[in-house]
Amino acid sequence: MATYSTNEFRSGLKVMLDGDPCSIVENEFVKPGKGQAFNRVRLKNLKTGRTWERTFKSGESIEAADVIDVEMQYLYNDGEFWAFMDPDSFEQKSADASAVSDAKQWLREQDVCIVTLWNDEPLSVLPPNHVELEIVDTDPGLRGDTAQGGTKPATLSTGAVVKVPLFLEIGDVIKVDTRSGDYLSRAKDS
Amino acid sequence: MAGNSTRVKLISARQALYREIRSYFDQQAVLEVEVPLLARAGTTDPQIASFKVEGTSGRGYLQSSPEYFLKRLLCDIRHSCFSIGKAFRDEEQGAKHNPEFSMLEWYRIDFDLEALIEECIELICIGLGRRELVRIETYKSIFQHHLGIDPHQVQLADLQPLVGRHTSYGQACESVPEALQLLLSQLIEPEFSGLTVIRDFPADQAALAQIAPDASGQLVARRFEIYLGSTELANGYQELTDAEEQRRRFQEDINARRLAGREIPEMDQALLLAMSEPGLPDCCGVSIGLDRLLMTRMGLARIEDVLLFSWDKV
Repeated sequence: MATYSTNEFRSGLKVMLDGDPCSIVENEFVKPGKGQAFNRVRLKNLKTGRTWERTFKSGESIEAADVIDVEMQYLYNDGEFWAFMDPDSFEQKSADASAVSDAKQWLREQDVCIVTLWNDEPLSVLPPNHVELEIVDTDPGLRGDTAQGGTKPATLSTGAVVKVPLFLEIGDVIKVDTRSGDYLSRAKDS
Repeated sequence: MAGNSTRVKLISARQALYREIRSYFDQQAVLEVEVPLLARAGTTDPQIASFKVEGTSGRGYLQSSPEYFLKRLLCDIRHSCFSIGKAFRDEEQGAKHNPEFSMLEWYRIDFDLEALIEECIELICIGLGRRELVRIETYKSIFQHHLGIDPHQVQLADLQPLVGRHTSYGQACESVPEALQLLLSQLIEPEFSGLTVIRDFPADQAALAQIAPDASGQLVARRFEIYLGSTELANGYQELTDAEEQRRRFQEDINARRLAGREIPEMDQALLLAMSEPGLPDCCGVSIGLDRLLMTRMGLARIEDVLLFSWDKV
């Protein structure tokens, strides 16, 4: 198994810590003029999303994590797993609920997501920044009121609930920013 | 076309800093000396890695400090002196470390440690262009204050839970100095503000300082460090003058390096010879990291901000 020494630590490097894959966020070299050198490292646990700090003796090595990001197309959800496919090899992977986590409310079939694989298994899923989804439930629209502010909740085909302008109706397709959960616009083809 | 004014400002600030330092030592009749950066002997300090240089004229090490040469000079000229120059330390790179850096080091004949601490504070304030609040602590008082322990008496087993609770070190410490150092850097130093002097280090962290009993009879190293905020800025000693003791410490260092599988440099025999005859006069010496002083003078956070060409640009 590959290892990384502290002098190779830089942000983005994927390492194993306490059995979990982590990504290095920040690496600070600390050394008194007379005394032992340490690396004080902030890491993000890629399983839990939690960030924590750990200090290593400089020169120490830790195991590399076999973590890669790949673009995969979302296919379907069978109730337990979410299926993704590599568009080049057609190879499929199943992601469980903890891997899809909050991304599941934005997953539309055929959309291309970034799937983070750890030891070849999905660890997390990042949906496209912008997705187009259909409104399946909302209060009746107020026609003509296209300019003024005011919003109402709307449930989308994936189950996500977003705040939308009052004039939108069931059946409308809207564009949403998945990072903020904000409504952006009506989709062009609706 | 206008030049890069940020860089011009940086160059001028360093020029002013060096001018003020030189002018201070001029008034004090302390001699400026220039010593070699490349020498056959390297430091034996178990925690410092030197750059090794191979040439057709011979091999040697880039000096990690001017200490050995300045001490050889002191044996001969018996006059207070200082040097402003480059120092090199392999494996040290970070927000406050660059493998090549600038160091001011000076020695005062017949000064005691208290007088040198006072002068060092004065010079730091000159370099900063402002006065700073000064707090003077002993290594013992600072550990008693923060953790209620006596660092000279504490056992490793008693330090492990403290390291676990107060630091992010994920494993057991191998030695008392290592545990104390972790607690100092992660629990105590972040609380520092203004200038903080720590003196009377544990005897096993003496480096090249004399070891003598403190007021309570505890053997301590006659060594101090000065922090500016939480950044270590200066390290000084009442210098060890006993050549035999010096040889013993070099040998101890070399044994520690062998155990750690580190490069074993040659002991500086010329220094040992000068220290035994004519001998090193009673003196105190200290060094200051000039890049770090300049960082604070200019309000910059990272060492590369004050270097024209930092390590990743050379």
